[in-house]
Amino acid sequence: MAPNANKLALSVTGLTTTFRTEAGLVRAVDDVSFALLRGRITAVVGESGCGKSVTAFSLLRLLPPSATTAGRVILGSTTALHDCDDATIRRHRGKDIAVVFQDAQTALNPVLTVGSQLVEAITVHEPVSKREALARAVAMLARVGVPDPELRLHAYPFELSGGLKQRVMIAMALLCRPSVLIADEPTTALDVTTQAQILDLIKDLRDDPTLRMAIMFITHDMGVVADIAQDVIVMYAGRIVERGPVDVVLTRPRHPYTQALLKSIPVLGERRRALEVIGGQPPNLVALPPGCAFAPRCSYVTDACRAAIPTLRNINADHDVRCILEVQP
Amino acid sequence: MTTFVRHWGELAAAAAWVAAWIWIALHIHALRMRVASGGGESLWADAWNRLAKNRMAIISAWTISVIGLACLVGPWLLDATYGITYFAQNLPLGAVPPSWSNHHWFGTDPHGRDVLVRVLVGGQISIAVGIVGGTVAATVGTLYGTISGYAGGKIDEVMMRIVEALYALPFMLIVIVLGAVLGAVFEEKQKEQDAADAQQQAPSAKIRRTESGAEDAKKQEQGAKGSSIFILLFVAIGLVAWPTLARVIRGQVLGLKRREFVLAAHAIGTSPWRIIRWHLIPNILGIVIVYTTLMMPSLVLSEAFLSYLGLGVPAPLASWGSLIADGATVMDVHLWRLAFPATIMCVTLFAFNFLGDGLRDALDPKLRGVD
Repeated sequence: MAPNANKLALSVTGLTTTFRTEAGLVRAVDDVSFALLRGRITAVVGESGCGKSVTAFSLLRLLPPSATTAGRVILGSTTALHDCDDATIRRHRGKDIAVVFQDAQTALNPVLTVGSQLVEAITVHEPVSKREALARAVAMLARVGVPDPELRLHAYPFELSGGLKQRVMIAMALLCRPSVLIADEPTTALDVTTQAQILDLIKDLRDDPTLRMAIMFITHDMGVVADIAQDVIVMYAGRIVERGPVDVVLTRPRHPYTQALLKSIPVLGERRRALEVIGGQPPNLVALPPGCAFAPRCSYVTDACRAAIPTLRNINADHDVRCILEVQP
Repeated sequence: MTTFVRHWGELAAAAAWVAAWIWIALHIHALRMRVASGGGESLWADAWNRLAKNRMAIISAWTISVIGLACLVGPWLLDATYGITYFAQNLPLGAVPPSWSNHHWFGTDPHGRDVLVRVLVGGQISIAVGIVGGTVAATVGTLYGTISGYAGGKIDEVMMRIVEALYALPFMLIVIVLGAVLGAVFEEKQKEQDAADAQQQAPSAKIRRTESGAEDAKKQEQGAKGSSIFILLFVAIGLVAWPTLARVIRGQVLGLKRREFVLAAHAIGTSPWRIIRWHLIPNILGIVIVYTTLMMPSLVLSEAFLSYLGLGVPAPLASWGSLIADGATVMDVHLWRLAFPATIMCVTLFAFNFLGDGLRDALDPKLRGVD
């Protein structure tokens, strides 16, 4: 990791998040470790309910009171976020780690103008005048490609299109120049053409030398991963099952779950083959099987898989996989 | 000139009332211009458009403002024009039925006091109870409900149990006890004050005791004493009325705080207090306005009920409740003493209710864009 030391934006070790529910303890995130590097997009993929968003929100402790989080979260190379008090973590939210939500429609306050919400994002952290904050808001709206930014300041969220709202959300996240940007399925609620524009914007922001951000991009769309990400983390039932550089993981996936995910993508123009699906349901997190969580749905399953949880083992350079078998793609 | 000077207070209140209406009218005009120019339509402009289409609500708003303005400037005009005041007695003219010729259009009571001016002065007090009580209840209820709903957990439990305990106490009992305790405390202080004043100003007071001067002094004394007592009464009524609003607001906040924009506000590092002030309260303002408008008639009614029981404003001041109470005892002989205050009060209460209904329809976000 030494050559990457100055690029390290955030490192997470042994992150475990547990929810107290009526049905019992739910371990939504189980011993997750990863690092985010500046200037790179790390995609986190998996089915719904596999712990992608909970992982992201655990970093900033944005979870309901029923959740408890363990593990180490280090911002940069020294600032520990996992054991600071509420006031301190509040200073880091938005300033060092910013979040772009899935649905900008609901993530913007419907009764406040765009301008006042953007100004708030600055004045919460910096003692600047309203005039200066407005000027910065206008500049940032222009940077993320909002046409007529001065006019948009006076608009209410419902007066903007879905794509514009998402651009406003991104502008709001970037206002304090965070070192980490968490994008929680930012394109899921948009139509396909707008999706492509927002993805281009995020790629552009990644390569912006003045921002030097690390981006954590949560998605369930393998096509998007191939398009924008450099690193990929595949999660299943709260655990990382495979991770590595995108070109390696997508071309030579080693975990049966990753392979199944990649097979279930429809290919344009291909008509003969029925789309492959992963049989069965994601497991109930209250009562996980004792061994590999994917075992009940895995077509290569052996008795050893059901006996113990496999460890995340390194198989090649940065490529790790949580599977005891040597399944070739 | 003394008659004019005596009414500077009313004049100032009337000017404030007119200014408030001009201010509202200008705002409405600005909103309309913005809509007409094709600019963005804010939630408030949209709500206004829907309210403007509701004929009953508009008629009610005008009714309330006409009655309110009449109550404020009416007594002053009657005094300036005919020398009619709410406390001046004229026994030969006692219990005269309504007539045009003697300027007592609503008739007089057995003391020869004009019923119209007493209805107008009573209206000042009754409407003030609605407005002051409503404002107190809205402020306390909104803050309490928002904090309770936002904090959640044990704090919410404790705060809501307190509200339930308040519900369990009979409303009237609290108001009566509060009014009695606060009134007694005030009277004590007033007596001390009076004693001190009498010692200091005895010689000069004697010189000023001409006939009209005595009347003035008496009225001012009663006004000052009365006003302090019924301001306490207003606050007591307002303080008792807030739990309902607190519950409604808490329910709204429970729903709002799970919305994603609150999570987004957390994610940019906003503090909880700022989230309450900046993100939650603007979202519930519509509901607060509607509930306060709908609460006002019940507050006016509470005051009327207290006055009916003889616990309201002290004589010779009047409120609609005390006028109706007096009138009800003689309704088979002096019907006008019951009919006029009762009719005016009914009209006002209906107008508040219709306006509240109209506001509810206009501010309901579910009806946005529906005509």
